Amino acid sequence: MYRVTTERLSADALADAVTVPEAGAVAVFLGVARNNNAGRRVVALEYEAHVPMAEAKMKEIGEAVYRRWPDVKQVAMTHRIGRLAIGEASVVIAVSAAHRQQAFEACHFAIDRLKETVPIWKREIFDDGAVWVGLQGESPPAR
Amino acid sequence: MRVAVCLFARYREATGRDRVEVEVPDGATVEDVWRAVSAAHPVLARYRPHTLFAVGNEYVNPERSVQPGEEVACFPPVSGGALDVPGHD
Repeated sequence: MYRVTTERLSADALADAVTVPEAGAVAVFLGVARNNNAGRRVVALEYEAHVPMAEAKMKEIGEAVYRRWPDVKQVAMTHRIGRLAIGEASVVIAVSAAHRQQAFEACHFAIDRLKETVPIWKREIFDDGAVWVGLQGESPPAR
Repeated sequence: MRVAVCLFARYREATGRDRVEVEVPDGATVEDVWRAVSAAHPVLARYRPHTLFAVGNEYVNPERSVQPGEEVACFPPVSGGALDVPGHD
């Protein structure tokens, strides 16, 4: 399952989605909206995606995982878009494998790759403004 | 030919448009399409060194030629996931 959604993400649902009888381990990663960044208080985050491309790129990551870790059984990735309150999950990745090492490694790989290749953008909302996260040299100065 | 261009994130915000159409010669490249878009929306020009391009669901090089009917997406470097962007914290 590879999905971009405006709905609240469920780690349990994703763990269930990858649980198969052959798997002895399920690794789940949650990225969570944090209340501060670079010393500024963040009150909310907003995510935007190129939805069909983002889902296609997440599927490619899953396929890369299956090639690299043959004992991985199932991969599922979901990313939320829209406005998130502090503490809400922006991304959930679940990987099942025969053993825990492959599940951990593959989950780590999947989140790193997602951040590099999946067309999703984040905006930090402050009390007094907002800024797109990205290359600092490209961004207008934070207000 | 007329090419539809989708804009995302700060590009969308800067132009106030999530989709624009530009007229380019047949055989035009993705870079030509970008030039037409940034001519119509000069606010975009300063973002170019870091702009990413896609056609359909695939990243493409700016040298790639655009076929009639294809839609080009232009966007800034991606920043999905959680807040721990390298170099940002």
